[in-house]
Amino acid sequence: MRRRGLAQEAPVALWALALALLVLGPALAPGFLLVRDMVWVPDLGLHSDVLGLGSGLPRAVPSDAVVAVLDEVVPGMLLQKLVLVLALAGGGVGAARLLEPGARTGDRTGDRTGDRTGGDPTALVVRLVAVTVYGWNALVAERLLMGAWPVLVGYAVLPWLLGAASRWRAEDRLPRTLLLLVPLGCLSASAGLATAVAVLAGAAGKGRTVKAVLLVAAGNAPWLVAGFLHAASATSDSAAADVFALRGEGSVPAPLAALTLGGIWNTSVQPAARTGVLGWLALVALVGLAAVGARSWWRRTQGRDRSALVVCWSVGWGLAVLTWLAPGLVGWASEHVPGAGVVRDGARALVLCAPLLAVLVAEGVAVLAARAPAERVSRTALAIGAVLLPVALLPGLALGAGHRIEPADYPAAYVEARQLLGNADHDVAGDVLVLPLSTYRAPAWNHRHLVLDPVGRFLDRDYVASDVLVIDAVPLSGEDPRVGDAARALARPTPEERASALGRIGIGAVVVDPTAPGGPVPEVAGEILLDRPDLQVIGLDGVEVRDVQTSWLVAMAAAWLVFLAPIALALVAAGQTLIGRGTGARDGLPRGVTGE
Amino acid sequence: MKILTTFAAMVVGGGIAAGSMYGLLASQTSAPADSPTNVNAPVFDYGSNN
Repeated sequence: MRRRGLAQEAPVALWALALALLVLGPALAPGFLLVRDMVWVPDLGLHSDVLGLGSGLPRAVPSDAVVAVLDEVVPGMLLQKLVLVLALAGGGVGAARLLEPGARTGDRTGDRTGDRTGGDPTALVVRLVAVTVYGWNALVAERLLMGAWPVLVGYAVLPWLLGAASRWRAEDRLPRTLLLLVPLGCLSASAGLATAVAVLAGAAGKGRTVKAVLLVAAGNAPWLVAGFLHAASATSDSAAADVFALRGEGSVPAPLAALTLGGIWNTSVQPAARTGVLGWLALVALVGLAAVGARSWWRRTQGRDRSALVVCWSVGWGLAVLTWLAPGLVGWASEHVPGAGVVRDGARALVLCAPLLAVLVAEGVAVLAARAPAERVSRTALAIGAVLLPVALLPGLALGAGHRIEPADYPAAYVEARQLLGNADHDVAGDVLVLPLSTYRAPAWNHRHLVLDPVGRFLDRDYVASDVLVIDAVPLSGEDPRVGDAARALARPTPEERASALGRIGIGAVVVDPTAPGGPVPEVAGEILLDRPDLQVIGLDGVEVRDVQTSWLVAMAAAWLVFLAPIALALVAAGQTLIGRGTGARDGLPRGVTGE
Repeated sequence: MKILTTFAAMVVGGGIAAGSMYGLLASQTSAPADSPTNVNAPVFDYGSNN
């Protein structure tokens, strides 16, 4: 049985892996992939900022902390590529598993479309179609180009969550995998919300609701608590809601683009193919296949599995379209309700639509396969076409999303700066201010690709950097009050006064990137520790080091313990199983009898 | 009739496969996509609605 399972799983896993490798292509060469919000460094420090204790609203909690811990074991460059490959491949495999018998009624009466999981070629093709639809679509392309890797990880986890929730209902026992999947799916606020929707949609009811709520609360605890602590700055510019709303792609209106997982606000990352004829073809082909498969899927799937997928789809599409339909309402909520800004990027909610889309399209192919010509050559041609259809509709996703994600090496000056600031001989206290105060860079060493200023993450310090987003030359205000304080300090008339004012807000060093936009940088009095063409470091005296309130420390410590608790429980349970298996083996019992 | 359906199936399946290959090759051989930056700009746009 085990061998047969592996034989059935291997082609699916290999195809998913092949697609992931094709998506990344040359991006897998040595070097860091730095694109928009995706900033990875060789060794991210585990500081106040990444733990949610910085002065600004933490936007990379808990993802940065998880990376900071993991890159102690796996080098940052390798870790980044592993995460991306697994995220891009894992989702497709999970989507194919949603076609398993556990999600079926078992009633085959009148069913002419066959078993989706058996060893016959049609079943395999159907599963491969689900893999391609899930792993090769506009959402993957757009989030990859936005550098939203925690969203992609959450996206990959979603179908596995739904499968685990289904098992929880069937076996009436919390699956151990869910204890690991939930924290993994909550690496960012929006991913955490999608995870919460999926778990509750799949598992709530019959005494599981409280456990499910506690589990998703634990997974989301770090960003929730950090957001609560920063409640004063957790509201956002109301104008941003209009900017980040779901948007049409070319001539395809936003609500229709959302049906095929497209419609990101940022037109500069919308794949070119989606804005032309292929955008309409994708809509007709994918929605058409989904419509063909809907009836069969409805008939063959257990009611609760159906409702879980439909609820996820409805919440995702509904939220996305709401941002397009009523940006004023979303803007009002973002401005007045702390944390409500999480939903302002409407297309991000579409991750919840992907599992149902993949399953329905695969089901549609199964229905058509039952009516296809019986000749082997015809069926083979149609099978190849069905599996490759998403690729044909969006070829630009290949090879580092059309060569827009390319490996880069950090300049030697970055390493020098990190060593200098970590060197006790220089006695630099306090945090780092990164100048100029412009949020994004496009350095020559990064092939001129746009990226969030990586200097702060590279250095082994907490840092203050601009968090103003500029969309079509219009700035949207940031959330870190210390950025404004720093700007006011820099506006003082003399270098000495600037240094003194910066010291009073806890800045112990100024790091200047002379190649970045936003200059010229006002002179600041201090000791020049490093002066290179691409980076300068100035140490300041008289620093009043910023203290973190004890109550914040306690609150975040509790949040992190709660976040880690499910993982610890899963590991303990796995350990007990292994010990049980070992005992069983010694006692001559077959493996897997104990500890399950 | 049988020949027609076989032919149609091969056209559909083969067409999609050929389209995929063409698209993949075109994306590989085309010039790198737009670099987002005018290096002389005072600040870089995070994105665009236009």
